[in-house]
Amino acid sequence: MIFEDTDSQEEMFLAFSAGGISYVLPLADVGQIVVEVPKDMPEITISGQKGGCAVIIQDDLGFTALTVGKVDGIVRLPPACQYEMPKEARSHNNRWIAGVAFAESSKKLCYLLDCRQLRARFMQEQL
Amino acid sequence: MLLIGLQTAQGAVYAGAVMNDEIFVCAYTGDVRFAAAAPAVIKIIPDPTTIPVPDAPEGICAVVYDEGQIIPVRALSANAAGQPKLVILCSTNEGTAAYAADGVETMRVLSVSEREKAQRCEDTDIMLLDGKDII
Repeated sequence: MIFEDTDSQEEMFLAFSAGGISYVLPLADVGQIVVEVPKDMPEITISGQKGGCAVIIQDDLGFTALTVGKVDGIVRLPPACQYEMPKEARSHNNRWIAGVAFAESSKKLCYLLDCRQLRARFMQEQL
Repeated sequence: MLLIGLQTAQGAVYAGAVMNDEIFVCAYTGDVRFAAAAPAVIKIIPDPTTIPVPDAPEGICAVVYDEGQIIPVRALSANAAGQPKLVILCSTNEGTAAYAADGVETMRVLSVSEREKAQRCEDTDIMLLDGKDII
């Protein structure tokens, strides 16, 4: 796991992968990373596959467990590395992608997640 | 004008002077062969920095990063496996368009029969050389 030093918490993200795709979540939205999802906690699986661990995200609607394949680290992504998702790549079902980031350190792309939209998309699917 | 080695439909190779707008970059992806007018091609990115798009709209397979831009990548074949090996960037009236490719075959004049068989890909300037429908 990689930790990068920074002064700005707003630029800090938890990096993880699910279904072979890299994602980042604002560190401020991350509660815990657990091996087993706590009982009675709503669970979201982005890739459709149960993963190696779960990231517990917290927002004003409460706690949700996000099943991920692998946690890759905590990374700093300054605003200059963050881009809007092109409108041609947007669909009704991927509004939970808040944007795209290019990590200079790894020269890789990842998606910025919107916790609220993520919850709306996947929890609705489970109903 | 370009001075270029050309291969005709009959396979003969000759050198000649050709107007640049008659030249096409011919490439393939999966089982689809396509051509882009050479003047419209901005660049061909080898080993591109791409990422698949979850829940993507039809016809979009990824986004690519290039020189501070994120550009949606169009898939011309439903049978292309994995992420694109090449991305062909073309200029359009709306800006920059990116197309996934497995490889580039030639850069040449299209034969009359190729032009007859070719089908324009929807709202793009791409010619599908075997007249196949896009996904």
